[in-house]
Parts: sequence; C-alpha cells; structure tokens
Amino acid sequence: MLKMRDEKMVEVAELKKYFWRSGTFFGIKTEPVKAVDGVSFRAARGQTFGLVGESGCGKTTIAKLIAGILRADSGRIIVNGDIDIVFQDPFSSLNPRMKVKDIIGESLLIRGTGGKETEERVRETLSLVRLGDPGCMDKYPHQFSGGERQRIAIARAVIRRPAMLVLDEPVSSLDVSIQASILNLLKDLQQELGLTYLFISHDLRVVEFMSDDVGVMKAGRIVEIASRDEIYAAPKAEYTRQLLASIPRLA
Amino acid sequence: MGLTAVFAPFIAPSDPLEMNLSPQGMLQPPSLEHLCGTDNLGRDVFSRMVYGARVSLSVGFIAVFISMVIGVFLGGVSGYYGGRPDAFIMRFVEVMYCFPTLFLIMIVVAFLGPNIVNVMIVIGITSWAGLCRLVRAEFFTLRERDFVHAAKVQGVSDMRVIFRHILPNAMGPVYVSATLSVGAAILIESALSFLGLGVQIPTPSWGNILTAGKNYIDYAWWLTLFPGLAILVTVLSFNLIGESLREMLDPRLRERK
Amino acid sequence: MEKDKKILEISDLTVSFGARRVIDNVNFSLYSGEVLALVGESGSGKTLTAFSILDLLPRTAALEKGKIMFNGKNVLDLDHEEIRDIRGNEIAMVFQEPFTALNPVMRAGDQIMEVMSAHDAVSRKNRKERMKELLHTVKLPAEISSHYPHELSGGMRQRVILAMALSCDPSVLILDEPTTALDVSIQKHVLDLIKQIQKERRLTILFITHDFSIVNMIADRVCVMRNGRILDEDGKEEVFTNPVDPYTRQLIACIPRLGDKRERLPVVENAQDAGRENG
Repeated sequence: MLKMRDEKMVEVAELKKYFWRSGTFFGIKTEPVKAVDGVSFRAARGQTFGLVGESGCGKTTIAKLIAGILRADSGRIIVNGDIDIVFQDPFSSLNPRMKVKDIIGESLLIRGTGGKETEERVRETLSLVRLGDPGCMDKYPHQFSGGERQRIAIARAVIRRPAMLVLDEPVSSLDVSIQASILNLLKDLQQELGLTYLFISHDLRVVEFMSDDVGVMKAGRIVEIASRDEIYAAPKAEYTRQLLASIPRLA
Repeated sequence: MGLTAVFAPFIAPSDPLEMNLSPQGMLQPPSLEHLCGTDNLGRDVFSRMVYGARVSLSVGFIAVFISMVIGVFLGGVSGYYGGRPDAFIMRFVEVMYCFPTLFLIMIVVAFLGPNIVNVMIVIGITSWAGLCRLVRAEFFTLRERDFVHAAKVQGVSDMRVIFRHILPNAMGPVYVSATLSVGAAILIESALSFLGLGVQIPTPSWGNILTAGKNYIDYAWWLTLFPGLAILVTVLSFNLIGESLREMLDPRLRERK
Repeated sequence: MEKDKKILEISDLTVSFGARRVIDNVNFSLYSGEVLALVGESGSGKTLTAFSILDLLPRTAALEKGKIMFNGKNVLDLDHEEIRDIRGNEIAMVFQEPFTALNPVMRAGDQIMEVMSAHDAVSRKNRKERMKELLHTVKLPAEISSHYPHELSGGMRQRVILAMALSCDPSVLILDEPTTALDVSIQKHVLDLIKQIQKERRLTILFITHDFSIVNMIADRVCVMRNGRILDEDGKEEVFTNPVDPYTRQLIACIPRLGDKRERLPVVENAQDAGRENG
C-alpha cells in the first residue's frame, strides 16, 4: 500500500510513450520502442516518490513526460501545481554562456519581475542552496565544480517555489562525498519549502534514502510499487529481488 | 596569429590617390619614391594597392556579413523547428549548392551593372548555404541539451530560447567559417575585377590592377607581382586566422566529465 | 599459505602537470595473487598511478621522482621496446569505457586474436582455438566472435575486453573502474567473473574504483587515495573498521547503504569537488 497522506500532488495513469525509428522501408511499419508502456502511480504532497530501474527502463522518459518536455501518446498526467526539473549532468544543464544570476533569475524575468527584485530573490535562493558567497552571481558555470553546479541547477528549479520537482538522477554524476551533501540539501529543502519530489535513479541505495514510496521499473512498465519500507524489506516481484541481491554490500 | 601583423600595413591610412599622367611618370619600376612602381597611367601602384586593400577588405567583410545574416537565420529556423520548414529550406540550400557560384555571380553582376555594392550583395547572397548547414547542425545538437529543456520547462518562449540560449552557443563554428569565407570573398572580388565585372577603373582594386598589368607582364612585372602577392598574403592570413580560431574554440567546446 | 612475493613495488612516485602535483609521493606494493583495490574519488590520482605503471602517462606529465619495480627492473627506465613487451603480455589493463575500448569496425573474435598477434604469444594456428577458450573463460558463447561491438551489450563488451586482456596470459591485471558504466545486475556478474578468473589463474589484480562496496566485494587489501596521496593502506577489514585517516572514515560513512535508517548523511569535511572542468 502506498503511503497516501494528504492530497495527491501528481497522478499518472496508463501513461504511454512510444518512439518510432525514423524511416520505414516501403511503408512497412517497424516495431516502435515502447519507452513507457502503461505506467500509473501517484505521489502525495510533500512526499518523495522514488522511481528506480536500470538503464533503458523508461524512467528518464517519464521524467520528461511529467516535466512537459515530451508529450505522451496516451494516458493522463494530473499535476496540482507548478513543476520544475533538475537533470543528471551538471555540466550540460546550465547554459555555458549565461551568468549564474541570469540562469537562476530567468524564470522570474520572463514573467515580469523587475531586475532589482529578481537579483534579490536570486541571492536569497543561492543562500538557500548553500552557495551564499556573493561573488557567485556574476560567474559562469564553468567556474564552478560539479556539486556547485548542481546546487545552481537546484536553485534555478526552486526559485519560483514550485510545488513539485522532478529529479532525474540528480547525484549520479557526482563524487560520493558531494553526493551526500546534495542529498542532505534536497531533504532540507523538501522540509523548508514543502516540496514534492519525483526522484529518479538507478541507484537503489540512494532511492531508499530519499523516498517515501517507490516504483520499480523495467522495460517501460512498473513491476512493483509500494512504500519504501515494504519494497526494501519484503520485495514481492522477482525483478526487485534480483536487483536488491545484486547490490554489492558495504560490510 | 602573428599574421595580424601582416594585416596592419593594409589598413594603414592610405596615400591620396594621385595620378601622375606625365609621360616620364608612366610605367616606372619600383623605386624609393614609388614603392611598387607606377602603372601605365603613371599612377603610384603602391597607393593604388592600399586603396585596393580597402576595397577588397570591405567587400570581404560585408559580403560575409550578408551571408552570415541569411545563413544564420535560415539555419536557425531549420535547425530549431525541423519538420517542414527544415525540409523546405534544405531543398533551397541544395539548389544553391548546385549552382556554380562564380558564374552565377558573374551573370548577375553583368546584369545588374558592375559596381562595388552589387558585388558585395551578390557574393553575400550566393554564399550563405554553407553557413546555413553549419548553423542547422549546431542547432540540432544544442536543441537537445539539458539547459534548453530546462529553459522550456521554466516557460521560456521559443524566440527567447533561440536567441538567448541556443544562438550564442552556436556561433563558434560560424565565426571560424566566416573568417575563412572572407578569404574566399576577396578572391571572388579580385576575379570579378580582373574580368572587368567588379570594381571599375579608375577606382583601384587588386583585381583590376592585375588587369592593367596583364598586358605589360614582360617588362612591367611589378604591376602583376604586387597585387598578386597582396591577394595571396591576405587570403592566406584569413585562412590561418580561421584555423587558429577553430583550434582555440575546439578544446573549450569539448566539455569533459 | 606460501609467503607472498612482491610483484610490483612503487616507491616515492611523484608526477606533476606543470605546477600541479597529481601523484604525490606514492608508495605501495602489489603482492603475488592478491587483489589490491586503489580507491579514491575523481581527481585523486588513482587512474594516473595505474597509467604510470604501464608508461601511459600523457606527454605533458612530468615525472619528478620515483621508481616502479617490476621483475627486478624499473619500469620508468625501460625503453619503448621493453615496455611494449610488458604491456598486454605481462601486465594487462582494462579501461573504463567498454564502448570506446573496442574497434567498432572489427569483429570481436578478430580483436582478441589481434592482441595475440601483437605479442606473438600464441602461434598463428593456435590463435583461433585460444580465442574460443578465452570466450569460454569469460562465459560468452563462441558465436560472439563473429559479432561487431555495436551488436553487443555493455556487459558483453566488457567481457570481450577482459578476454583480450587475458589473451597473452599476463600475471598482473589492472582494471580501471571496469563496472562503472554497467547496470547493477550486470556489474555483479562481471565482478563474480573477475573473482573467479582471479582465483583460477592466481592472477594479481590492481582494481581501481571509487565505489567502496565493490571494494568490499572483491579486494584483499586497500589503498585509499586523495589528491595524489595515499592516505590509508591496509587489509580490507582494517580499512573498513578502523581506518587511519579521518577522510577515509568519513568517506565510508557518507555512503547510503541498504537498510540505512539515517535521516541525514554524514558529510566529508572539506569535501573537494573534483568535478571541476579543467582549463
């Protein structure tokens, strides 16, 4: 049973997304790649729904569908508020030619917030993600390290206080020591800002640390969905058990 | 990169364009007074060359500028929207590639009347195809980058995404290509002027100095050598600068984990 | 148990790129038949250290001092021919990216045989046989030999590379993050395979990784590196239960584990974000 407290933040029903290979021979339709093949789940407000699976299972496609980057072929996505996204690669998710303050403040500026106020809010958000050094604002992404860039990406995502964040492998490209501080930051922000997270990762340990409810994906489908404790203590699906068994243990 | 030093003398303030039609002034070999000799009308070849430099360079830059404007715009539209606009523009590009540009230019210029402005415009509007393809390729790549997705998720409009996000990142290879194109444009202008289809005498252009010189190659070698050398060195410098630009940009573009 | 012999000894190795020391007075040894894990985060110098063993350092790297003794000779002093002899033949290396280590236009079987011909280790008529044996060792079906790399999955590619590494019967195998790019379930199979091969052939393995749980699974002894220096060198158990350096302890502590009930993860003091773009 999913831990469903409070209201639904996002509900996804029978979501499907197929990719057709471009070019068909003589009009014969080739089989499409069923990236997402009928996925349904719900996430409660203020909670973290973890989506875990190996490469190619469709979890990144789900991230893009929910964030609105891709359009689904069928199914429903109902979201109760604003969404923003944090990507895996801190190097390509920031425009190398824009200053940090412009990157973070853009979503405010295009909605009519004045320059001065935007700058204030950017400063405030930067200290929220523990990048309080005032010099940061006028620098360019390449002047920062991976973990710092990820904080910038998080700042960009939360500046308008969205209700939900889609986090697509947000710490997978980071060193373990940095990973820990970013994960802590995400938890802190969730509490401070009341955020709902869709946390996507291939790393079962990280997903366990972050999530309240978990969905395990394989080949475009969810094979098991339950509360975090249930999935990890008493997995029902064979695939889930296999995955858990293959994780190398740490003493 | 030190080729910019070669540049300087060409941009140096030019001498007045004096003609010395006195008989003893005509066809003088290079001397201290006339560094590159005089031509068949007694004019100082050196000053004509310096003026000619202005002609060549301005044609080079303006023609390339025109082709950049067209190429970047069409390439951007093509690369960003894909689908039908892309198909349409690409057909257009392919047609442009089919034409032997030099002949096309010659015909158009002959038709419209040979003067420097026409030359600039015509070279510009016949050479945008390469840049267009380049920009389109850059747009295809950049359009899938995470920071573009992030901007869209934040609600940034298409226009702003194209101009604020993608375009600044796409310009690198364009500058390289443009620099190399300047050399090509100068060559075309020289060829046109040589054939009488470009800059008309008495305004000097390296090409038309060569024209004048071709009848006197046997004994007034300086009329051919100097403009020829000038064209060679200038085009070479642009090519080298273009290559260095390319080298400079490359490692920075290659972002490693 | 027979007394273990030192196969490789690195002493005072110091390498720099311009003003920056990337390997700083590194000392450690490799004993026959053991699996030594070289652990560290990105930028710690672990891969470069492995590269120096086979003289694969980039030309911009300056060797300030140090010796690497293998078979009684200092590897750093050897000339090109002698090094070529060691590479692949006595010390083989498996790199991180299975996708780029294979030639995309050559069939898998041919690539394995090519390594053998490069070292003339096996006579021409025996190569095909040997190649099939190797595929069997790495638990791949013989048909794989006729496939191109792009037709194979990541795990399969990594096994082909493993077969290539084993083809000349080296005594030492250096593995640089061999499973990082693989899915967790594949990773387990590849690691099990490596352990099995190591036992069967009594190979000495230098295993480079950033992942402590892999270390736990596969290593006998551990060296922890940070900023070009070795902070801890000890048996696996000792490093996990009682590491000398506080960095090691914090690094191990900050990893989330299964069944972890902690609400927040402990952090590493002065965690250096080595993800900085160079230049």
